[in-house]
Amino acid sequence: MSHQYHLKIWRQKNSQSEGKFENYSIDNIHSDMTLLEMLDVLNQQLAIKGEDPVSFDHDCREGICGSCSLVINGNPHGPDSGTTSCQIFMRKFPNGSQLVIEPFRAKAFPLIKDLVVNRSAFDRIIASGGYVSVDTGSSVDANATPISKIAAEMAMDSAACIGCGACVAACRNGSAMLFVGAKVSHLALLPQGDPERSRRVQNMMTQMDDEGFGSCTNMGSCAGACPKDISLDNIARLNQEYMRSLLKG
Amino acid sequence: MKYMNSIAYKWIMALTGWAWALFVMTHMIGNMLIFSGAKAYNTYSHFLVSNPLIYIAEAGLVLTILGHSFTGLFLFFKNRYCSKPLTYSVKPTRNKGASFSSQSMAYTGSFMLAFLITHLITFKYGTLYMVKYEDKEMRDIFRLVVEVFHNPNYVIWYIISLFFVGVHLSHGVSSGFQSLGLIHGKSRNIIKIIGYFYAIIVALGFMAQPIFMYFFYRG
Ligand code: HEM
Ligand code: FES
Repeated sequence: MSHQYHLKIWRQKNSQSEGKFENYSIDNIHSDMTLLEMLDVLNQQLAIKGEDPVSFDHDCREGICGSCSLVINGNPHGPDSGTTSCQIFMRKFPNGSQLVIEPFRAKAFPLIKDLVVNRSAFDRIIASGGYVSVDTGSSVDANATPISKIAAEMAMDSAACIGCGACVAACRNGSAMLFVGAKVSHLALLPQGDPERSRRVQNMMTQMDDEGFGSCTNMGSCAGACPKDISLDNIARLNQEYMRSLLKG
Repeated sequence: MKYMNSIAYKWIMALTGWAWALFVMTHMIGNMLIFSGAKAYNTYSHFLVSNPLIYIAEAGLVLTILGHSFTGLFLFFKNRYCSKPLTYSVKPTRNKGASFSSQSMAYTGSFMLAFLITHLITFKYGTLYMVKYEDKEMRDIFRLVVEVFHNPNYVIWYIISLFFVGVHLSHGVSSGFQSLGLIHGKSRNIIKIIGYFYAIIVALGFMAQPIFMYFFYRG
């Protein structure tokens, strides 16, 4: 089935220039195309006309890398829960409807061009504590470190975070608490994370604040927008990990 | 390492918020003595203000409300105008949005602060009537309350204020659990419901008093 859409897309040359919405009409869009493929078609048409194509981030296009970062009709990664922008199919949007496409907005994610924002603040948060010390030497026997089924499952749930930044984009405070919560939880739940446990939460929180992310008001839009359904329990655990780090040192 | 990070501020909000949430609940329950008449109400009030511990309690309340309000407003401005200067041109759908109460904490809170000040002026520092029960002289606060609660403007203002107290608490009580890391898995929904009930009980409990006085009490 071939559909037609009215697009309202944020265009901005670079971080210094002023951005504004630009309107485009597009037709002959197959309902089984993804949203990003629809943007590819638009860009092809713009290129043929000699216009500047719309810049947007993407890599795997299968919902695992966390590169894509669009806000569609006010929703980071579109209206559905548990989905990345690259996994949205055009059949989701009725024929003839309007799609407003904006970049992730937060002070800690400065805009580079059009729909592309700089999310390297997340890398610096990880570098400040999201790692573990490993033993060197010959490789260890499998299962040498016993981990309970429950701890393994919970750590896996937290580890599902792909670091896309939708939590920050959804948050009215531009807070990265869900991201930091997932990363801290993932390692705090496992024995491998123990040596740096206290230092990790303290350093990552300091880095989060220094990057200009806001603080949490427990509104919960982050968990709603998360394409990997990271739950608010991760923030509760982060709060407790910080308390623990002060008491235990 | 900085100790005052975003989490530390949240504990301040949660602990001071909870202290006041407990206070407003006990205050509401204590005030229910208004339904038992002047003597019970005045004796209870006299018992509270003549107890030397009242100074410690009052100092604690003043400190916690100042800490809560300043931290709350500081976080509000830091978050809204520094961390998220731009918002989106379309409202998000429900699953990716936030509740009204959680988005309006700073507004309902500021309103409550204004209400609190007028409330103290009206009652604590209001007209000083005296009464004698078995040779014991004490303040006739009941008379003042009756007087105030027969003024329709005040009753409306009071009910609107309590509505905002309820909205603030409907997010605040359960939010405090999350801030202190006391929510895991299935308990989340139960704690949310407890928070709503807490807010409704406090708000309706307080509202019942001026409504009863205005419509039914003819002293
Ligand atoms: C009767 C008085 C009050 C009570 C019982 C109360 C209760 C609470 C509670 C329990 C919280 C949740 C804390 C958390 O999420 O960790 C909260 C949050 C908040 N309160 Fe109050 N509050 C009161 C007065 C005020 C006042 C006067 C203000 C402001 C002037 C205020 C502003 C806020 C703000 C902005 C938050 C959200 C803070 C955040 O989540 O970062 N509150 N309040
Ligand atoms: S492009 Fe990799 S998750 Fe969307």
